[in-house]
Amino acid sequence: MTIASLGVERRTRSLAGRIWRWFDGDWLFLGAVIALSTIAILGLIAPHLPLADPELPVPEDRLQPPSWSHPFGTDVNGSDILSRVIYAPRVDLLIAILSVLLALAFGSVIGLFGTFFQGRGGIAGLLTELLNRTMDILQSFPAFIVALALAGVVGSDLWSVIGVLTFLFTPIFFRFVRGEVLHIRERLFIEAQTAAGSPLWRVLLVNVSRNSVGAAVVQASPTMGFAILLTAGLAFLGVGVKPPTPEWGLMISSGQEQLYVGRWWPAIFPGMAIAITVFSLAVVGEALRRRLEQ
Amino acid sequence: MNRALLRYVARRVAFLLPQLFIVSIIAFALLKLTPGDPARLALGPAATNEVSVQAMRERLGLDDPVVVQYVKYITNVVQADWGRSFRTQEPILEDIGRRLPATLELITLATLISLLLGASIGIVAGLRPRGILNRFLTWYGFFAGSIPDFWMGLLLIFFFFHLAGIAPAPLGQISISTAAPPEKTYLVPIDALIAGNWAAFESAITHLVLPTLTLVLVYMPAVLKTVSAAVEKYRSEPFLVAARVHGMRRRYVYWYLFRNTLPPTITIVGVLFVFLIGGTVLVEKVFAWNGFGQYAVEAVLRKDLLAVQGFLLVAAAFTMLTYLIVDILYAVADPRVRL
Repeated sequence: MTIASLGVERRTRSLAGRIWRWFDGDWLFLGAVIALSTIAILGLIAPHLPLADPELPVPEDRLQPPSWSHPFGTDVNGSDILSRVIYAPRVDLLIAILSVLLALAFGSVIGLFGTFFQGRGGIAGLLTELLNRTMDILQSFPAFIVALALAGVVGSDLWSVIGVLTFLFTPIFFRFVRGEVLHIRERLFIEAQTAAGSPLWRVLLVNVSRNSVGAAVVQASPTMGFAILLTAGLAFLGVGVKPPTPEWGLMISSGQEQLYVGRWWPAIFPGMAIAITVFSLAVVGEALRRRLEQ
Repeated sequence: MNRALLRYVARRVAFLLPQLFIVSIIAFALLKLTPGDPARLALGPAATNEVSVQAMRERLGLDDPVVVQYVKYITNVVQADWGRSFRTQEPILEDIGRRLPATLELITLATLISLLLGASIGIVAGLRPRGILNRFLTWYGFFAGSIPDFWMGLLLIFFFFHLAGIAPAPLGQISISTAAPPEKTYLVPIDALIAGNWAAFESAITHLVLPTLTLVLVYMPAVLKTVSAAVEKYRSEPFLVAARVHGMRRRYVYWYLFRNTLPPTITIVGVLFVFLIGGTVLVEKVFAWNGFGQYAVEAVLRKDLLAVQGFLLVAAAFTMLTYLIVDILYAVADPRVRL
């Protein structure tokens, strides 16, 4: 078989074959991607599925154990838990995705412009130093304390939680981009670009950014997991989104007292959903990181 | 050599005060941005009389310029007057002093056990990086990091309190039927010991088991992973290989190996402790622990701003103090830092 025919064979592989190649026999990575897409797609199409209304209280159905009509049982209001678990990503994943994307954008921009001039003197150098110290101080507070205090200050609807998490995560991505920029700006190809007469903005926006944001993007996946844990935690304390919103942390909170007397289903299922989602996000992040390093 | 260490410590301590100062400004500014009129909040929903609202504003100094307000606040804080919580009607510093020990007891215990367990298992696993133990622990670490700690607490309550019936009811630091010992240190087990009250001591210790276990199960893998990664990295470093091929005694080789895993271990334990200062809030709620974290949640929910401010200051001070100790221990363990 010649090299050319090998190439042809590769291109004509089936879609499934190509996907399998991309996963490279990494079962766990594949499983995580399937789990995440299932959770996300079910959440997206939830209103069109034959599910009970997740916010509808049915007083005569309170605290039913799992059965055929209610596979995950019902909660203290008589709402169907399966339906609430499936609807919850519309809040939890939305918060996670939006806050991480916003933080990634802010962190990358600040990291790019704020770091390129570091140690180069002048006003730009001074501002950079100030920026770095501010980010250091922001990160020196324990994350959950900041989230708690901020949620108390700005209020507790969906958008406030997104804002709080964005504020918390921006320094994380800033750090990652900064590390890369410091390293890349010393590379020969940047010097060559500058020497060839490229304007500074072009070097920054095209050459530096293209090579430095990758590390931060890989960090996005585990940070989303962290976002879900924080969202659930805040809601559990009563500082985040409010009932009767279907949200995993709130569901655990309302199931807490039931668990003490042996009704396990209201708290167990949403907790499992959190664990599976966050675990899958961590696995995906780890797999992407390994791929980037290769 | 010791002089270099002392100089390093002095420099590090000198940074502490300006840092705390900046934190106090941030905490103050944060709460100034809060929507709502603190005077009305302090008077409660019954505040309909404009005259009394205005009187309260003057008493709280809300009509002064912000800088003046801050200077007043920080002067009082330095003199141990942190203001009164309108919720408990008690001075905030006293409130915190009563509720902080319970949280510190819990997280210190959890951090120490995580260190002991994590380090010993981590060393064993790190020495055999391809062993079954290491592979299992890698996945356990990943998975533990994905579990909400409050949910883990609930699971443990379900199994050990409801099903097995061997754990006490998750309703605080001591059982309701046991007379609590007189409060001296605000650490219930120690207070019980001081009072010589064995029943209370036993009750307090059994109540500590599940919350501690919750934190250890969820957060110990972080320590474990750091230790095993460090052992794995250093065991094949040239200096240790050289020591081995030169026939150095085994225990010395191990000693040099462990000596090098100390710095990352110190760091991760510090990070864990700092995280737990705020992070135990959730576990505290599950076990009705009534500690510092729950105090903060109550304050946030009721918009008790002075109390939130006090919480932020104490939490930040503890964070910085922990990092200071971490840095000093690090300098002791790794002489290169002092240069």
